[in-house]
Amino acid sequence: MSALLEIQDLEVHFPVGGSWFGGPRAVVHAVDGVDLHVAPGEIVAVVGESGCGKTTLARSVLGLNRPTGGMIRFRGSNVLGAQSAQNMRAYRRAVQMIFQDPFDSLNPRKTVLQTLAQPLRIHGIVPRSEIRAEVIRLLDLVGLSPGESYLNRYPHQFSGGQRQRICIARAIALRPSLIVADEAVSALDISIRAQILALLQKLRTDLGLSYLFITHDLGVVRSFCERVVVMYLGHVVEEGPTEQIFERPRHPYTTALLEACPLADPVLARRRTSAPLTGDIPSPVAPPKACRFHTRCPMAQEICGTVAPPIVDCGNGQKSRCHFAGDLDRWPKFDFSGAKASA
Amino acid sequence: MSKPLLTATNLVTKLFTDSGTVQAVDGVSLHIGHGEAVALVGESGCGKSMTALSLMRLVRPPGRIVSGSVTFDGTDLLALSEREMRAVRGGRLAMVFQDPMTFLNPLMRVGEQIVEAVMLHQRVGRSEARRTALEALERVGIPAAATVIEYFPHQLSGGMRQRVLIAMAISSKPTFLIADEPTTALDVTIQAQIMRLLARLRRELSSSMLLITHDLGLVAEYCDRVYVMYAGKIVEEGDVFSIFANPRHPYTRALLSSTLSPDRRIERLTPIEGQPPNLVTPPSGCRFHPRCRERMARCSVEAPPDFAIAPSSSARCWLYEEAARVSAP
Repeated sequence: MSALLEIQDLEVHFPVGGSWFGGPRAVVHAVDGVDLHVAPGEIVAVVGESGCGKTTLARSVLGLNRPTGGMIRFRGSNVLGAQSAQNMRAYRRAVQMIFQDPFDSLNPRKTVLQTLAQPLRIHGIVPRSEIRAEVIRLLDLVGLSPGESYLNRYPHQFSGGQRQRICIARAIALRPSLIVADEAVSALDISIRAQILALLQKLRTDLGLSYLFITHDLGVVRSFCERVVVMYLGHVVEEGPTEQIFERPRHPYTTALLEACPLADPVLARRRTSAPLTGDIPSPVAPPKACRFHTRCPMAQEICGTVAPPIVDCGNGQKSRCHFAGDLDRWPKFDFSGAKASA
Repeated sequence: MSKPLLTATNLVTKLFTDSGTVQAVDGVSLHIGHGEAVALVGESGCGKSMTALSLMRLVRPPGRIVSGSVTFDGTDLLALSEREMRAVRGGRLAMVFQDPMTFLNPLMRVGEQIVEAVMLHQRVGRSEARRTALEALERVGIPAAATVIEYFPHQLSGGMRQRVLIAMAISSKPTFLIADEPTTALDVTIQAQIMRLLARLRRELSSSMLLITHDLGLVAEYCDRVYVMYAGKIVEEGDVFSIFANPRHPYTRALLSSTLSPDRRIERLTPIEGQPPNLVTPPSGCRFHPRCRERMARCSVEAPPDFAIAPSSSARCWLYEEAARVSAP
C-alpha cells in the first residue's frame, strides 16, 4: 500500500491519579486500537469531542507521546520501535506540526528570524549564508510579505492570524511531507480562519503536502478535508470520504454530531427536528463496555451493551463500528433539512 | 409595533488604557422586543461583549460608558443608582457568560450560590430560596438535582456548570436574558443541548434574549433578528432570513462567505484580506473600507450613516444611500 502514514491498532493508555503512597492508579484509555492512514497529498480530518483521543493520536504521530501498543509506519518504515537515529531525524523532518494556540507555540523572546532560522540551521536545509534569504522566502510563502519587514519582530507584535502564519512558516521550513494540524484554526476569527485555510490549501498544492487535520469543527471538515475519521472515547467509530460521511453517515454518533452542528442557514436550521444527544461524554478512565457509544445512542439495543461491535465495511472506503451499520432498513437517511426518510 | 423591552440609543463606551483610548462601543443603537431572540454578531474585538456589559452596566475601569442611553422596560438604566441597578441586574435582566468556571465560586456549593442569588432578589427565606434553587436546577435539565445542589463547581462537567449558571440566571424569572458566547467553551453535542435549553426556557418564561456570538450557525438556528457589529459600530441590521439570504453590507457578505457550514462544501475559499482594525486609531471614514471589496473614493473620507433600507433592515454603507432615499416616506 502506498500510504504515507499508516497507523495500526494504536493504543495509548495513561496511568492517572493514584496516591503518593502507591495506591491503585486508574488508566485513561485515550486511544484504543486506532487504525488510520494518510495517502500522499491527502487531507484527512480526525473529528470528535473532548476526550475522544484525537489530540493524543496527533501527539503520538509526532512522537510526543509513547504509545503503549500498535504500530506507526511512515513511508513503510516503523517509527515506534528501536531504530537508527538517522531514520528518526528524517522522520522528524518529514512530519511537522501546527498547534491551536499561536500564542503559546512561539517563543516570546525570539524574533521571527531566530524562530525560523533555528530549524533551518539544525537540519542544514540551506547553507548558513542563505538562511536569511530562506526565512524571507518562507515568510513570503505564508503571506507575510515583504518578508524583510517582519524579520526582527517579536511574537507579541503580531495578531493571532499572523502568528499562525509564522507557525505555518516554521512547519514548512523543513520541507515536510506531512503536517499534523491540531485545531489549527479553531481559535481564529471567521475571516482570519478562512485566510489560514486558503493558505493551507495553496501550500498543499504548491508543496505537495498532506495534512492530518485534527478538529471539532465539521463545517471546516466538509470544505477542507477529503477523508474523515470520527473518534469517540478512544475508538474510531466511522471513517470514509468526506462527502459520503456528510451525506450518508453510518454511525449514530456521526449522525448525532452532524445534527448538533449549527447550520449557517436559517431555513434549513428551522426544519431540523431531531433532539440533541442527551448526557455528557463519559470519562475515558472508565469508558462504557462493549460499544462505547451505547449509553448515549438513540438506536441502542441490548446487544450494544454486551458485545463490542466490529468494524463493518460499508463500501467505497466507508467503515463503521456499529452493529447496525449494514442493516440498511434500520438506517434512516440523513439529511440536513431534518426530513428523514427510510433508505 | 409595541414598545421594545430594551432600547439602547447612541451608546458610547470607551476604554481609557495607558496605550490610548479604545473606542470599543461607538454609537450603538439597538432594540429588542418582548419575546424576541436577537443576535449581536461579530469577530473578536468588535465591541460586542463590551456592548453587552454596557447594557448590564457592568463596564469596569479602565472602561466607562461615556454617553447614550439604555432603557429597559421603561426605566433609564444609566440613570439608576448602583443600588437600584443591582435590583434589576440578575433580577428581571439576567446574563449568562462564556466561561462558567469564572463565574462560579469554586469554594461554595452550587446550591448555595443559587440560593444567595434568589435571596438577594426575591425577599424570601432560606428554605423557600432553596426550593426555588432546586426547581431552577430541575428546570435546566440537571439529573438528580437534589444531589447536584450539594456539589462544588469542580465536581461538574463544563456543560453542567453552564446549566448551573443558567439556573442561577433564570431563578429570578428574568424577562430579558443576555447570553454572551454561552457555548463557546463546550463540545458540539453539549452546545446543542444548552442552546435548545435556552430556547425552551425563553418560550416558557416568555422572555427576550440577546445572544452575543461570533458563530453565524447559532445565529441562523436560534435568533429572529440580527445586528452585525464591526469595529465598534453596528454595520447591518435585519431579520435572520434576509440577513442570510440577502446580506447588504460588504462585511456581512464577507462574513457569510467565510463561514463554513457542514451542510455545504465550498471548493475555493475567498477570504477577505487584512484584519479588524485596532480601535485606538480606527480607520478614517467607514471603518471597514481598508478591507472592503466594494470600496469607493468617499468611503475612506466620509463615515456612512445608517441607511434604512426596509422596515427593521438597515446597513451602514454608502452603497445604500440611493435605496434609503427611495424607501424613505
